[in-house]
Amino acid sequence: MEFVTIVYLAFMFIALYMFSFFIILTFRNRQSLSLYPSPNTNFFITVLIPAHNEEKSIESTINHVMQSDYPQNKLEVIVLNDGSSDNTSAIVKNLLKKYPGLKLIDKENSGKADSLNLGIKKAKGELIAVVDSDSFPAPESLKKLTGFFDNPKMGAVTSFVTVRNKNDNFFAKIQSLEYVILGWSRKLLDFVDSVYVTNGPLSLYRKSFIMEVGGFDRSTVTEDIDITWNLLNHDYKTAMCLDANVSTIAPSKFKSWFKQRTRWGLGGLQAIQKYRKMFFRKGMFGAFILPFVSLSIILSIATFIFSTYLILRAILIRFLTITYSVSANTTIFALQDINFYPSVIIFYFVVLFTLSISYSWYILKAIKYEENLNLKKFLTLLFYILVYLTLYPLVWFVSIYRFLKKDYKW
Amino acid sequence: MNSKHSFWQALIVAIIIFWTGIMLGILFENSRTSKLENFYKSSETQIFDIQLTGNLLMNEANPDCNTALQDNIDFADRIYEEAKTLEKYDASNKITDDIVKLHSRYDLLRTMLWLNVIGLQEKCSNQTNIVVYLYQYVEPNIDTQAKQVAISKVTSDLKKKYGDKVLLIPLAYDTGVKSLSLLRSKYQINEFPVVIVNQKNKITGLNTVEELEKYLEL
Repeated sequence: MEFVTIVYLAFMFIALYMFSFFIILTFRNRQSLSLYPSPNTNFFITVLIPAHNEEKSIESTINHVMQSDYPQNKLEVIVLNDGSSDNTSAIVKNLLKKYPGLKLIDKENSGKADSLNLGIKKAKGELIAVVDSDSFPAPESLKKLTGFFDNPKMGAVTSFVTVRNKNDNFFAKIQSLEYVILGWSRKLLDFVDSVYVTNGPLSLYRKSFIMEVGGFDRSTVTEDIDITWNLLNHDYKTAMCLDANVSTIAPSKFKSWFKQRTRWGLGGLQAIQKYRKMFFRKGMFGAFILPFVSLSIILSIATFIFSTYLILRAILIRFLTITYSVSANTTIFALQDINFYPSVIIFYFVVLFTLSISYSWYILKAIKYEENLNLKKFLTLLFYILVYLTLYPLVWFVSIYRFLKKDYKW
Repeated sequence: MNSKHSFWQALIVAIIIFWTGIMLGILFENSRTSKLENFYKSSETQIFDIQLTGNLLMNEANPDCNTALQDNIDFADRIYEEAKTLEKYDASNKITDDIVKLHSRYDLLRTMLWLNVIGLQEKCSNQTNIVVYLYQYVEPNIDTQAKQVAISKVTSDLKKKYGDKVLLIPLAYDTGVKSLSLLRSKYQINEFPVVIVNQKNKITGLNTVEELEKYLEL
């Protein structure tokens, strides 16, 4: 068997395993995906909204948080204005009169993690909700998240993020599909205690645990991944509530999308490096999360290199054949050159492609992504799987480059 | 239900699907190989028959060169078509190496054919041009691979143009056929890919049909 075939079969096996894993998790937990524990404790919650030049969205974010159905006497909202040079501070100041529970801390720009640490110090709440200043939690979301904290080991619970601006353009629409599929997968990982990131748009943390693990790490570009791994590393639990919704603004231009994703990638690599000694050591964190995230990165890059090699090789052979055929004055292409016979490679490709399309479609239906899932949506999904996902290896290449150069800018 | 069982359950499901794929692959490949095996057996019988018939015809007082040569030409055409199928199957087979073995056996058959027509050519005045195309089968580099496709087309065009006046034998020189190695030494063939016309002219590099036909004895 050729080396290329062996590599291909190894990739296929890993992909089949991951697919089977997620499908089995779905089948086993299909009745409880949207369930969440009712809270027995009335926790005091401090909502922290770190903001840096967010004049366009900050008012709406605050309005959404203040419209929460969580008891207002148990809710404190602190906006951490991280040295904004626009009207963010003025807009919040105007809202202070409207919302008595709202507070504003103006500070020098020092980054999101540092702002959050300051907010935690000032917070009265037992639980800390972090809400990005371009995100908009649904009124009932906070309440749905708090029930998980009746488990004394629970350190963080995250929400289900949707794209608010999905009708902006096709690119935003594609991301809205991606967020739904990611949210679903994250919920499935909850059933094996492996929620590995508590997102920025809306996550709830137990303050005492955050303080115990040293707060948010200022040196990382994705403080949300780091804090989650830090909590898991200290044997605390993380969870995800599929029914707690928060919408966020997704980048609608490629450049800003690429910048955001390379930052996420860079943060992931920083986290792997920081917790590398925990591989195969710390329960699910070391046994599954660390290898799973690392393997995903390796596979993404390896698949890209492997496919690029095969495609370029085929193009080069075709190009040389045409060149030589022209110089030998013979036929460039004949019908008999078309060769299609079923092989094991085609079999796995068909199985995986069918599985990914059907499963993603099932997710969109189950989540009720849109009322009318028509052919247009199906084609969008097809584009997501066949084109959008192939951009990821590029993101990883740039992330790795920045990681190696220690370019940890936001 | 403990969802952590999903880890090993997924492993079982993945192994089942993977195993099914491998089995289907082997099934496809075996069915293709067995089709070619049947062709091969029939061709093998035919080459022996041609050799015996040739011996009988040539040992008579008035040797029947035309019939003997025509048998060889027909046989060459037949295994040339089978070789095309073999090449296509070879590109699709990924798991088993049965096709590689079969390729080697076909090369042996073609070497036998070459030897047979060399013998006939020495005895008969009736000229049929023997065009042997020796190419690399085992891991050719990209450039060689592309060049071989073009040369293969040119030799095929030559055969189409001259029909029975050309007996075309494409042969892989590196599939371990010992007699072929001896022939290579005998005719001092050291560069590949190469087109050999009537054992005298060794033409390397890219050539057009017009350039190759200069070497034919018509």
